[in-house]
Parts: sequence; structure tokens; C-alpha cells
Amino acid sequence: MSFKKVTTGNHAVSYAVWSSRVQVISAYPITPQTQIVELLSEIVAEGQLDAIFINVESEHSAMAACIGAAATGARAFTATSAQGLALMHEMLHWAAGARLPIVLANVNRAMAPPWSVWTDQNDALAQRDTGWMQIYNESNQEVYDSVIIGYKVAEQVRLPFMTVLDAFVLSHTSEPVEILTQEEVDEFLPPREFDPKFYSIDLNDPRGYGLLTMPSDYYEFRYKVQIAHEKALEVYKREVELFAEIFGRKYGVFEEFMLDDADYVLVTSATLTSDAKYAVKKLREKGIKIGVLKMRLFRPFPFEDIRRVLGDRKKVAVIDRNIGFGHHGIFYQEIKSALYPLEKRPPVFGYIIGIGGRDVTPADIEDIVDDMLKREEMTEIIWKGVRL
Amino acid sequence: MAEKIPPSIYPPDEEGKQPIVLRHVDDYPEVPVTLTTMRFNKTGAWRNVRPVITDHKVGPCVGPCPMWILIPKFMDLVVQERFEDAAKVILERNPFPSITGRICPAPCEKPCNRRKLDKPVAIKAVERFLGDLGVLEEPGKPTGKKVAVIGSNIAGLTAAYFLARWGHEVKVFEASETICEHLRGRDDLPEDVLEREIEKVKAMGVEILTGQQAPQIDGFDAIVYTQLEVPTDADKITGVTDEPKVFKTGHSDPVKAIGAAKKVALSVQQFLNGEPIKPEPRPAAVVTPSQVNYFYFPEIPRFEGKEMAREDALTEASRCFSCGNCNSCGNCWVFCPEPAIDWIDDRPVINYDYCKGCGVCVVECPRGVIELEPEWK
Amino acid sequence: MIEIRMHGRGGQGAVVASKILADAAFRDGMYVQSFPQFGVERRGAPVTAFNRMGNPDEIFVRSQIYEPDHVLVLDPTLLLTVDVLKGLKPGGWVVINSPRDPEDFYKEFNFSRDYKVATVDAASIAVKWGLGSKTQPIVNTAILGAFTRVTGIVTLESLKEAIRENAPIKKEENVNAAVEAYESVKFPKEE
Repeated sequence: MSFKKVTTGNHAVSYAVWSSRVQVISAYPITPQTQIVELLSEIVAEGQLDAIFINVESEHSAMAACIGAAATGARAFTATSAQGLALMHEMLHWAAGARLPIVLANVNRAMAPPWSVWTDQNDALAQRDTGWMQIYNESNQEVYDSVIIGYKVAEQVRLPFMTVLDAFVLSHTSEPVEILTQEEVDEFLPPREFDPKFYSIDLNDPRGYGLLTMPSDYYEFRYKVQIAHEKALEVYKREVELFAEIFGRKYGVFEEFMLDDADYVLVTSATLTSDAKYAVKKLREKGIKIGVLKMRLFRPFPFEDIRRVLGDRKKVAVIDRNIGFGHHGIFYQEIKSALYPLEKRPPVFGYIIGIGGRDVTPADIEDIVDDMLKREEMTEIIWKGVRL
Repeated sequence: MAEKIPPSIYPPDEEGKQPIVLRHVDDYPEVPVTLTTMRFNKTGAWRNVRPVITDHKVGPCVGPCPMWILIPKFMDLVVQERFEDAAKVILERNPFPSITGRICPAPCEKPCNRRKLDKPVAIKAVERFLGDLGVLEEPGKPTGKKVAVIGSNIAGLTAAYFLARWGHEVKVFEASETICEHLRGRDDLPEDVLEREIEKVKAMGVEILTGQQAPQIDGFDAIVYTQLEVPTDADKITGVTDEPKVFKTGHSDPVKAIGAAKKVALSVQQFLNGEPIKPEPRPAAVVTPSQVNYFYFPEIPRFEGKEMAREDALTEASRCFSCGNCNSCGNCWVFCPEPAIDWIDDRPVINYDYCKGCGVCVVECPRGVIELEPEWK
Repeated sequence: MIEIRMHGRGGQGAVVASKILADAAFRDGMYVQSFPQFGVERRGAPVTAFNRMGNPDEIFVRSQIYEPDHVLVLDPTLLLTVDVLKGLKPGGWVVINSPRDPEDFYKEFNFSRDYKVATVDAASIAVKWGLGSKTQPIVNTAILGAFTRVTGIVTLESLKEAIRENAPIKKEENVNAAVEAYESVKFPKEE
């Protein structure tokens, strides 16, 4: 029987990796991620998980080790954060281009300088175009489940999968998490089977991996990555349905909170959603018809679903804990571009908040709603809480 | 392995092979891996120089050794904890490692390639350690030939030991009452060690007769006179004299005497076998510091004592680069960018179908085993 | 929803205490959340940790706690430098590790009678059970025993189980310290 345990987001990742029967783990320590691989190294050292733990001298090498492992067909895992993820950048392209179903847990942490260990999303969103799938989590339970769902999807579409959790607000926060038994996880995510059709390194049959490809052929490989992302959206939807059937927890490409009759929608992601839900519930009591759309799957981006859910609203406010410098909040850009093809579309307002771990409270969200209700059109980036 | 090409809609070529045709995006593999083995591309055709895995190169330690002991080879065996095999590599060229391990001035250590990194390997101490293990060898199959050795000095004992080991019946004639008198009473060589080494000669089947003058030559197929200086009336290397069947050897330095006697024993052997007498060539192919890849060797403190424990010997032997001696470290296999190193019976073998002569293996071989030769001179 | 703030110093175990308390409340059927003041912890420096506990159907916000229902103080000298009562809701408990009487705090620190002060000599109890050193006792489990008694939010049984689950070493000694504090906590005078 599964059991519930009060545990941190970091350890929820470790338990999920254990449940997923990962075969190769390679990682380099970085605050606030270190506890993930700390616990995993103990689990492997004690022989509880039959995996190879590869110590490396950098995040670049950690991803390189995962790439090598995944190319042989092994289930590989790594975890990192902020500068570490940035150092991996080149290898992230390689993992996606080589179509390797690696799962990476990134603890969202602000990029230096100035130095910060606290949360925002710029580290992960800067990897948007590497070809990785990305999912953002609101709770430690989601964190645990996303790793397992991640492998299930990644291995079918042959794309790497990044699951993202907020520094400290999840990584170091303890809350109840249902840990599944091995048998239960195996039912949903069986142990990785050798897949020589796609992954195998045979010394007697040497192949060229990712070799120089002429302009006459490279293009098609890129096209196929895009097609895989489109397929991944369908596979993800199917797998979360199956997950819900077996375990009773339902995840979509996004989560809808009090949306049914909402005129106004707050689009959020990750942990500040909890504060937004709390605020929205209070605003509902005041009679404001408002709801929350929590983005989960960021890549592949669920354009159609966004249009369906947001198209008919009066106003939409997108709350970004990130900034695309020189442009706008990144979720804001994406939501707007999703709505553009609609003939009738709501005005979309973009708010920046909580950068570098600045605390986000329900009162802040209520302020944002007040501001949105007053505005007629979007004229500027709105930096909530910045000292002006 | 790449995704196998799906059943092609394109017709087979003249040889019946299914051609790989990339006309539609579906023809492309998902994972960017070559569709066929890389072995189709015989990159060996590009080669203008060829690497050769040599087996004749030695460290700079071997030449200065009067006995030309294959030091890198026995050090490697010590690393593998094959102590008896290591001792036998020494016995191949020097019957008395317990003696030389104490009294030899160790000219081998001076040119050690390790001196560029930290300090030379303590070869002498390892030799002493191996000698003191007391490893014995078997006498050879009897040949029926009889050899007399005149004088039981260290040169005489050396010649007697090797000739007996090669199956000849050897008698040593010593005029005095004491065997190997010139090595007795030395501070650096305890009597019991010397006695143990003399017992080894006897165990090889050599009869040592004391108080005996040189016999008549008629009863013997060969006779070796030994003395405590270099003989002036014989070839300096082969020991051949003007008289038939008679050889002479000796040296005032006991260590050089062993080396000289070993060479003369070889000429006697060649003479008894009816072969032309030809001295062994001096090991000439020496691994120079520029051929050692120092990147692979960390600094390790040298053993500075005289008597080693087992662990000391292991550590000290691990300091040896094993110059010129392939120990199957696998670096060439790891670094070769083509499938050009086959691994057969735990040994690298170069596959010239694929070797394009890039020379990476030569650079990455830590111990100078692999050399480049021009394809055509 | 009940919100609790703990004040301690790096090395006293405030963060672990927060986790144990969350685990105990979880065992009593509540949904819980426990988190440290996010950042770097150094020995001796003031440390804050937070707890939320309540009905599983409630929405648990994730901001820091600005208006706690109760406060725990693991080191009384923190009163000299930290405003431990900041934002504390009226009627809230202030559980302090001190051998002194609760009344002393109303007098010396001018505490409002809106707050209920309880004291427990957690340091002596910890030393008695060999927790930490004599100079730096680890008082976290003892103060939880006192908190359990005065607030009644969690049961002593759940607290004991949570300590056994989460205390890294000396599990039974920690349980004993909590029980002793539970029994010896001093209440304020009835008004």
C-alpha cells in the first residue's frame, strides 16, 4: 500500500526517482538542489536502488554522463539548479537532439549576478528552446508524480523531460506526499526495457552518434523534434488520464480553479498559484467572478487548450515569476501568442512578481486583481512590488 | 544502434542491397545515429603513417643494468601482485637478486624516466624484496653435455647456474676451501644471504668442489675459467679464447661480474649447441621522457628504506611507468576515434583496415609502447 | 488554519522541530506545511521556522507567516534582539525555553496580557537526557512537549511518534525530554 509521508520537495524527487527504477544517476551539487542527489546517493549506496551513481566535476559532465547512459538505453536522471542548469545548456541541446528520454529535476533559482539562492523561473525558462519538455509544479505531491509521469511520456516520444520546483518554497518545505509502492509504480511505469531499435551501443557494430549532417539532411532532424513535441502533448494527456485512473490524482496540461463561470482569469504557474487560489476564493466571496488557470505543461505548449479555456473571458492577467528581458514575462508572451489567432480575444495583462524569491502573499494577488479590473488595455509591464 | 530502416519503398540495387534513400522525412531515423555500421568506411585507406604496438622497447633503466634485467616487466608483475612471476623475470638474467639487491650501486635508477616527475623508482629495494622471497627455478632437461667452471667467485656461480639451468651437467672447481670468498665479510651482505644464494646454485644441480685444482679439459665439453678481473686473453663479451672449448670471464666489480658471466654462459650455450657464437644485442630501443605521457602519473613518494614490506613493494612498483611494456591499460582503445583497436586476449591489436594513422594512440599511450612508422619510405 | 512561528538559533534544532511538529499534526489528521526561513543557516544566528496546520480542504498559502497564532522561543536571549511577538494574534501562546516563571515575562518585557506565556526549562531537561552538550543543549523536542501541553493542537502520542520518525539520533531520549517538558511546563496565572 502506498503511504503518506511528510517530506520536502527535494526528497519527493528522490523518492520518485527511486520509485521509477532509474538506472543511472549523475549530478553535481548546487543549492538548493543538493538534497535530491544526497538522498539518492544514500539510497544507491545502501543498495536499495540498483543504479549506477556517477560523480562528476560539473553539471555539463553530469548531463554528458546521462546522455551516454541514455544512449545505451538506460533510464537516466540528473538534478540541478540555476547556474548549474546554465552550465548544462550545451548538453541540454544534445540530449534533445539525440532524442534521449532523460528526466531532469530543476530547482528554480534566480540567476546570478547578483548572487541569489532563492526562487524565480528564469533559469528554466532560459532553456525553453533546447527541445526539452518542461513541467512546473505547485506542490510536493505534484513534484513526486511529475517525475514518474515524465519518464512515461519521455520514453514514448523520445524527448527529455524537465520537471521544475521552486527553490525553498517547495524544495525545503515539508508537506504530506503520497509515496507509491514499487508495485503500484511498476503498473504505470514498468522498468525500462532494452530498446535496441532506438538505443544501443554495440562495440562490434560501431555507429556514428550525432555526426556532421549536411544542410541537405539536418533540417529533417529538426522537423522530427517538433513533430515529437506535438505528439508529446497527446501522449501526456493520455498518460495523465491513466495516472488518474490508477492513482486518483488528476493532472491536465493545466489546472483550472474556479474557472467555470469566471469572467476574469489569473494565469499562474508553480507555487504562487497557492496564494492566488487563496486570494481568488476570498474575491469570489466578494462577488468577483474570477478563477485561476495554473500552467503545468510549458513545453510542449498547449495552444489549443489555452484558446479553448481563455478565449471567452473578459480579462486575463498573467503572473510571471520571470522576465524575458527586453520583452515581457515569458508566460505572458506565450499566452498572448496562443490567443492571437482568435477573432475575439480578451485583453491580456502581464504582471511580474516574486523575482529572486521575493515573498508572494495573497494580498499581493488581490492587488494585482484590483489593478487588472481597473485597466482597459495593456500599456506597460507591471512590476508588482518593485520599489519605484 | 539506429532505428533499422523501415521496409523501403525503393527497389534493391544491383547487388540486392536495400539502398538507404532519404527522400521523405519518414526515411530519416528519429535518433541521429548512422543507419549502418561505421565499419563500411575503411578509413585505413587514409593512412600515411602507421602506429605499431612494439614489444622490443625498454625503459632507460635496462641498458645501464649489467644484466639487462627487464625492470619494467617485473615491476608490472609486482603491481599485479604476481610476485613469483616477477622474481622469475629477474632470475632470467640474474640468479642472485638477494645479493645485487644489497650491493648493487643501482645504475638503473639514475636515468629512470620518473626523475622528471619526482624521484626515480627504488628499483634496488624492489629487487631485494623479490630476491628475498627465495623463488627457485627448475634445472633444464639434461643435454648430456658436461661443463667445468673454474673458480667459485660470483662470475663462476653465475655461469654455473645458467648452464645448469639450460640442462648441462656443471661442476665448479674451487681451489680454496671457501665458496665465493671474495664476497664474504662485507657489511652490506650478510653471510646467511650469500649462503642462501649459493644453495640456489646447488639446488640447480651444480656440484661445487672445494680444494680442487682445475681438471683436465678432456673430460668436459666446455670449460669456463673465472677470475676477479676482466680477462685480457679472451673476447671481452663472448669470453672466447684462442683455445678451443675454453672460455674466460670475470670482473673486479661483483655486479658487473654477474652480467659478464651471464653473457659468457650464453656463448658457451651457443657453442655447445653448435651455433655460431653471437653476443646478445644491447637493448637499444629506449623509451625517452618525451615518449612518456606524464599526465597519467601522479606524484607518489619514493620508498627510501632498504627492506620492504609487501605493501611498500606494491606502492613502489606502482610508481614504475612500465616504460615500453604494454600492460593493457586500454588508453589506446579508449582514445582511438575509429574502430581501429581490437581487443583480443586482453591485448590491444591495431586493425589497419580502420586505423587512419592519426597518432592519438601514440600520444595517449602512457608508457611509449606505440610508435609511428611511415607507410612508405 | 493554525500558523506557528519558531524562533531559535542555528544549531538548536528549530528547523527539525518545525518538521516534527508538522509530522505530529499530520498524524492527528491535519494537512501540514513546515518550512524554514529560506536562506542560509549559521550556528548561533537567529533562525526562524514556520508551520501551518489545518483542515485538508483548506487552501494552504505558501507565503511566509506574518501573523502567527502561536510562537515558540527556543532561546530566551532572543527576546533581547528579536521581536518574537511581531504579528502574533491576540490569545496566542508564547512558549519560551526558560527556568523562569511566565509572570516574569509580563513584568520584565512588558508582554501584553493578550498573549499567554508558558515557560519550560527545556535546557535543563535536554541536558538531563543527554541532548546536545551542557553548553549547547538541543532543546527542540522538549519545547515541543511544552507546546503540545499548553495548546492541545497535537496529541502527545502523535508527537512521540513524530519524534521517533524524525529525530536523527537518541530517539527515546528525545521522546523522554518531550514528555518531561509536557509535564513540567509552567502556565501563566489565571486572570
